[in-house]
Amino acid sequence: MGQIFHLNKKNLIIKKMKKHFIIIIPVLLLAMLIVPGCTKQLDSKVYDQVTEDNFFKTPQQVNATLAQAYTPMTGIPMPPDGAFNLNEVSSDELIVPTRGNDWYDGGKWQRYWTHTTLYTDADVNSAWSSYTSGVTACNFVLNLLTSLPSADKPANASQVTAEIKVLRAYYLLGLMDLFGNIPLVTNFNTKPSSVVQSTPSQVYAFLESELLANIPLLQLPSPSNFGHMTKYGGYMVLAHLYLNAQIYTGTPQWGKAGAMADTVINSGAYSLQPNYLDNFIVANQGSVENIFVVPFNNLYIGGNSWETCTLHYSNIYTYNLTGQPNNGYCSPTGFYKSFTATDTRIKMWELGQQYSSSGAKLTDLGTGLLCIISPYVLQLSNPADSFRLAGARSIKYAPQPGTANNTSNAGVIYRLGEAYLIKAEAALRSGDAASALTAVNFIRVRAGVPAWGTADLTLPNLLAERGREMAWETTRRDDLIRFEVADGIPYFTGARIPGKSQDPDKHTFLFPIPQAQMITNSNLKQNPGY
Amino acid sequence: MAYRLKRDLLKDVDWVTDMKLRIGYGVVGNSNGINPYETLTLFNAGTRYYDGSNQSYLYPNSYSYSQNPNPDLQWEERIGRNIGLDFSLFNDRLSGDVNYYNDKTEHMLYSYGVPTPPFIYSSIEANVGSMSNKGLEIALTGKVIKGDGVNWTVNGQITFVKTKVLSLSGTYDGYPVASNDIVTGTAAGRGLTNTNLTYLVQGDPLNMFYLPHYTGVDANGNEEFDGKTLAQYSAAGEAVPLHYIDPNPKFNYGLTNTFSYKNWSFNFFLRGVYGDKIYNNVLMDYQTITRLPAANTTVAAINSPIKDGLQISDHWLEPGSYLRLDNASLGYTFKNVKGFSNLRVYVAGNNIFVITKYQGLDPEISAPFIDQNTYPKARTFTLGTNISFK
Repeated sequence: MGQIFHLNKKNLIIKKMKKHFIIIIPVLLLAMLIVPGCTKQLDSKVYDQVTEDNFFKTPQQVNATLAQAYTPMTGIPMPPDGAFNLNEVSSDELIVPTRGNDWYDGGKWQRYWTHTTLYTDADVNSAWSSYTSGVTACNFVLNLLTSLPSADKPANASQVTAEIKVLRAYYLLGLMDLFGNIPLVTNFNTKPSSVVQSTPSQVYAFLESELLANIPLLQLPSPSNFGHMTKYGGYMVLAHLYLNAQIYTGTPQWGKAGAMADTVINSGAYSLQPNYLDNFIVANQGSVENIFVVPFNNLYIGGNSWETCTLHYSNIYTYNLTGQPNNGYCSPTGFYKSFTATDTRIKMWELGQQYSSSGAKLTDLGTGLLCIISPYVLQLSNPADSFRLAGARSIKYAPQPGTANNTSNAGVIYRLGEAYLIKAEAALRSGDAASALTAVNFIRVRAGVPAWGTADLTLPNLLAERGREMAWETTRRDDLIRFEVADGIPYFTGARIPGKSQDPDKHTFLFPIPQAQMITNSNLKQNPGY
Repeated sequence: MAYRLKRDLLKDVDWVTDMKLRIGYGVVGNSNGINPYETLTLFNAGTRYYDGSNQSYLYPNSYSYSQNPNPDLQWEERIGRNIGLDFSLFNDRLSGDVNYYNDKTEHMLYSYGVPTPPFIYSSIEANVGSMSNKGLEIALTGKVIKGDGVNWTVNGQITFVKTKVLSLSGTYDGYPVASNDIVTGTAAGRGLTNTNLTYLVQGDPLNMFYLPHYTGVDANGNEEFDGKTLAQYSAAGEAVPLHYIDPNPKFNYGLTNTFSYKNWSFNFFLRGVYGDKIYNNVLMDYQTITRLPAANTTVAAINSPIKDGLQISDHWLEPGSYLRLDNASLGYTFKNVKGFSNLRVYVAGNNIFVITKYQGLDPEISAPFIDQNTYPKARTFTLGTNISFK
């Protein structure tokens, strides 16, 4: 019975309320008088939550708090992170074609590829937010460290402070690299209405002095600080800043870039991993080559979705995954073709007939076609059944059996291999071809391809070698822009197969300031051309 | 404030049993949006991190700042203004009330966007925007038959509400904060990541759809929006025109009937919504031949003129009006049974039928009016007895 008259009762209550409205008003007026009196009592002591006052007391608490400065790193270097997508899909080494309707996603992948990115595109704000949450988390930690009474400060406070500052420099560099004119906020207590953009030159000058001052205070690498910004990680940040100096300031700094790479190479702290792909295996903590990495774990630290983003659906059976991959990211044909058959690095690509782990031929369940991955991606969008199999897939980061979506391979940010390439490029551009040749041949010999002679060492060849060595490691966009700026050849803005025409001008070197930021901070000015 | 017209003005009008005119004004605070301690800097156990210095526990929790604190957070205020008429006519045979209200919510609590940097998180709970709610409520109760044996009472009510977002931006403590064009609903389906459907728009009702207008297909079965296919727009370098569509219902209504005849009683309650629109996301995902043969499709997909892939448009927006027999019951009370003070047997049903043109499982979809396999309401029948012993 009660159920049936449910609504009647409700009406009754409403009616009663209306009848009491006359009483309610004076009560409300009274309440309004009382409310201001209550505000003081709101500052009550908090017992069941962690606040600034009751945390940060033990070394473990300090460490756990510092860790937040590193957690934004998990949203930067791997697919499908916004920063990864913007850096990679705008370059010539990674494409996410629309397969039927799969991977259309509002057209964003096609826009990144054709350099027609909108300021509303999701990855634009997600890349911005990943870097800025890193910056603000560092600011927050630095603010805490300064405000601690000296008795409570950790013993290694100066080293920790320097480490967080260098880490912040990494975030700021990444942000400036994508967006150019960025808010340079280095104090947690900055008044938001005062936040305005700095030019790349201003950011560059700040980063250079910040890095030079703090890198010497950093720790040397050891298993206990795996995943942390160590001294040589710091030098790699600085090497990157100098390497791209001409993009940011108009003035190249080849000599300084080479010197920073030399510092890393000559430190003796790292050596080339004999087998290139061992740097990217599931248990790659043992790599002697990796300098700065982001630790991931399939159970505890999510964020490495490499296998999910690139492998074909049927590859679930190849690697005994627990979830179906999404059949998306692949290599453009031209980029794949730049690898020779003897190059051991070509093993990073997955092509041809796919097999199950027990050796049976796999078919594409959606179409019934044999699952034969083709290197040809000749359209940006194609509904044909065969297009589901288009494009070389990357198994550079080894898939991890028994996982779905998150794997345990640490994400490599900097490694010694790149230091050699920075050295080679900087030396060649400074007129020291002999040193350049030595450096690049370390890389070529390790890859199992013939060492270059003097005649082979040209700038276009070096750019191509960099492409093969650093494939999908988020440096390609910078490399193309840097060579375009230095040599005047439209490596970045030029036409590209499939479906990309020459950019109208060079505004595409930068991405647009995200809409979400433009709305919330009226001081921000959009980059030219957007 | 109320004025009882019956007391003087209508004192001598016989058919008016009672009549009262009332107007009200009040400010009601609402703090439902505020969680405890939202004003403070709090740390939460956050993402795990790798701690190489402790091999026995490699993945401890990091502790991080869990929110942007807002020390100035206060209640939002709903300023209520209403005018109404309560009446009872023909010796209480017809009674009811009509109520019109025009409320304005100020210092509206919402999670507003803030710039990063300097904020850690991209939103802050703050009192910034304002919203208006205007509505008309009419409730009528008629005692159609009133007698010794037979009683029939009809109770009907209808509600018209118009909600409008007046402002979503402003300043908080001198900081500009804004949330215009906030996305409130997104599409689900393969190839539809980051595809937004509904927005909060300043000056409009809540949850406005912003969609291309479907006008048909070309010779190859490609969908046309305002006369052109996506490829044609793209070739011409134009953006697909989008249109705002308000999905909110025009009115809600309910009708209760209560009959009693001697020992029998019978009640039913009908209710419905008129004029809302629902985005049939489920149909969009299945009514396509592009998934064959891997996934199931509807039969209609095979005959559909649309041959291309999934495109969001108003094509998938369906009228969501419905009339539901929410519940009904029939009971019989045994009188004067020895040993019992009350003995009643009844049969009752909930959600007995729904009349709607909507093609999905259930048209009762709450805001933002996007059907993504909402679990439908169950239909239940109950056979029961009420017994009380002396």
